[in-house]
Amino acid sequence: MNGKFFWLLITVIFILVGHLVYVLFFPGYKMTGKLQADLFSQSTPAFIVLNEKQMIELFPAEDPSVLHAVCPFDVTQGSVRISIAPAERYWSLSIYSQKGDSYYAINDSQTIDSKLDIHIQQAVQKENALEENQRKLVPDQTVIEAPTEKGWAVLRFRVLNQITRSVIAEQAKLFTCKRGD
Amino acid sequence: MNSLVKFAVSSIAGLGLGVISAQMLIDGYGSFFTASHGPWVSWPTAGTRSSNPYVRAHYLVHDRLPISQFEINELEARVDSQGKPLDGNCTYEIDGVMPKTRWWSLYTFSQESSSRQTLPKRAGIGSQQIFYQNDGRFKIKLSNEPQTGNWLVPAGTDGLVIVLRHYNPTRSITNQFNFDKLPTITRGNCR
Repeated sequence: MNGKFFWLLITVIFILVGHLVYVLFFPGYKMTGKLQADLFSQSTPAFIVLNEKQMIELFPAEDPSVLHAVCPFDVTQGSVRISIAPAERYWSLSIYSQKGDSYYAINDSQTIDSKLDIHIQQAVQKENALEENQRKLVPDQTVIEAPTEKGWAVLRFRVLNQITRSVIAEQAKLFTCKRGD
Repeated sequence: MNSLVKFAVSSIAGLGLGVISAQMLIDGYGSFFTASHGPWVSWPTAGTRSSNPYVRAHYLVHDRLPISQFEINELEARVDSQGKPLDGNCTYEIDGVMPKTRWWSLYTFSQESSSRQTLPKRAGIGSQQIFYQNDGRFKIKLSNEPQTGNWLVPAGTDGLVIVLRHYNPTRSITNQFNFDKLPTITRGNCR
């Protein structure tokens, strides 16, 4: 094999490796690092309303006119229940895998009376619950099968100014994220 | 020894080029995963099952969370309407009307400040905060200098990106983007 062609081939292989590693692993690594921040070190899931400093540290390029509340969870320790309280203002909920893939989204205009209970479970937990009829579902309850063990639930609220920010931050505390029954 | 040096050069150059080419695709160069018209670019498969690693990386690498276009229709501009890269040292006028949506917001972020871990400024302006003209049009001045009327301060100087978000868009927006009606971005004076 020609020497120049050989080293060109080696370079192309490294280009492919660098390209794929960066695209496939770097974003997930970055997201997982955020999930391991001290802010989220609590052992039980709960919504944490992010203040401006925390937003700059975690999501500096997100919309500043939106208040974010984040609940990191781990379904290996049991199902996670998110309860949405009735609210007059816009809200939306997105659920992400540990690596940042969005697998569920809903907003206030898609719910009845803006009220909803969401259960996030592993596939095996969901099957057991259904087979044993332990969980009687009612129309305002939704069961979601989590594709990964860890994940994030992210609530978004619209804020107009600093005054409404503090009011909405209080309202956000009525939305709960906790271990399921 | 000579082979070792060649291997080191090949590996460093190869990995570097691989990362640069990946970052270019993630930033939307080549328009493989984007839809665009004029300065505005959207990533239609973001937050959906048909998304791919490049689209996901586009959001996560720049510290944003991907979100479905049925929830938020998001458009980004890295250039003005004349195709010149945005510069935080310049004043821009964003002029137009908005498609029908529950509410919208317009904000900026700087890729440079994000990568350098300096504290970026976060400021945005929204549909209920601006002054409209009688015909429903609006003008927003993007500038570091105080402006009369609707004024937005850029998040940085280099690698500036303007983000336009339509929250809860109507189905007509999500099904067919009407880019012709999107606001124009006109460059004014620079410092």
